[in-house]
Amino acid sequence: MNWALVWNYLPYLLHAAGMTLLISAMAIAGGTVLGLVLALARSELGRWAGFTVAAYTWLVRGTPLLLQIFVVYYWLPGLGIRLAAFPAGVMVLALNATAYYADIFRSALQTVPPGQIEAALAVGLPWLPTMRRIVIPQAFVPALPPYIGQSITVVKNTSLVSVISVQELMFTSESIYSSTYRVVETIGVAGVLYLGITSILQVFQIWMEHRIHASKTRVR
Amino acid sequence: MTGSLIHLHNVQKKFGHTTVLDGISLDVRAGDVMAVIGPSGSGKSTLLRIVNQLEQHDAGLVAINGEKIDAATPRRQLARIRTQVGMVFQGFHLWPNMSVLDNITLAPRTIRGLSREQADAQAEQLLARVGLSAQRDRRPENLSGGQKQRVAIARALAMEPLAILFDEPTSALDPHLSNEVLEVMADLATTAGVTMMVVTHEIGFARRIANRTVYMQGGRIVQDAPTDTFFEHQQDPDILKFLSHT
Repeated sequence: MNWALVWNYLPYLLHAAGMTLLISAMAIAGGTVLGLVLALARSELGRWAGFTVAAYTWLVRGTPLLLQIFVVYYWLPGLGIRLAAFPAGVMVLALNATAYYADIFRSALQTVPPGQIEAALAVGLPWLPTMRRIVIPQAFVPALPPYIGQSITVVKNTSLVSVISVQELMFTSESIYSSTYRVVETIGVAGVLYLGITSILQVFQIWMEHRIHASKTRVR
Repeated sequence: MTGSLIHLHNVQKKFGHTTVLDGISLDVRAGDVMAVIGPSGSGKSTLLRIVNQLEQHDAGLVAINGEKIDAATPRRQLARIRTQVGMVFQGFHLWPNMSVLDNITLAPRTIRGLSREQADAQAEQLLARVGLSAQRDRRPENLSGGQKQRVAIARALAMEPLAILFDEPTSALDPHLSNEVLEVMADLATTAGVTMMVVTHEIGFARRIANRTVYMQGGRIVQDAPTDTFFEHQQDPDILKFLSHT
């Protein structure tokens, strides 16, 4: 073991971890918004929208992410769409996460009893405030655990975009150990950094569940 | 049709091959308190749900305050018309993610554009009217069933509707909790003159507060009469049998 050597490279690894965090945040944000749109489209827009969303979910969940990265990075240029590695990587990760998030949100939306929506219809509340104030807040609670689980997967999946040389944590680690031959030490530090990022999400989940519990039992 | 808040003419409704409503014609005028009674499965609740289009009828005419509504009515127009007809459900359907006060003020703030202060002031008056001023900041899950239903009534009143539909409002409640809800409804009917259409199994209550009683059986209106006449001069053997069992 030669930790001193790795210590010298720590600034590079930290910078790369920052990139991983940035890619993760963008993919999670994009996937969340698109996933919610698809989940609502599937439940609200009738058969063809539902079919299209189901087909998208089937396609994305049924093929490896690595393959999807290759498709976007090596195939799209043939169709005249040329993306740099970073935006291509973020896009694939977001579109991939969208399929999983859409399914998580769809099942969570279904847990809201129909009477809740009928009560909103009966007072004449339009669709958007009904969703925003009544349905989505109630679907939030059942969606949280699988949502965080999927988000942790997104963080770990960012390591795959190293194959198209996005300079995130995995790519940087590989460059470091291929010149220093200190694989175990380098990968060890990278692992700790990944764990740090995913821990943010797990702490967020614990904090949110605590808040939800507190707001339920609170008598103001 | 002029003068009726709720006008139904020859309304038909099927669920699959089962006919649920078979030619319902009905008028509710301002100030009416109409009790709708009859055996289970007679189509009473479906009738109520068609009045504000939570279910769509297959044929016939439904008009609220002179405006025709059906499956083809645009969503926005339907939403506007629904603000004129409040509804109180058997299962309360309060929104659990907000306080009692917010349950009442959400629609007035969103639709009628009231400020929070205006909406809160109105909601507090309504809560006082249903006897729940102390509960304004509680979550629905911390209320008893009777309290929940009284909040639901206040929520319906907050939109200042022309009429309120009550779909078996006390069927999910223990008798002692039913009474507090029935008292609030009686107060609305007698002192506030709120127009109501009440689907109920509480025959005694119907007799006490309704000015009209409608008896349904097998998706048809068998009788639509002033409440006094209905109960005191009832001739129909089926109705007499029904009344003797409840």
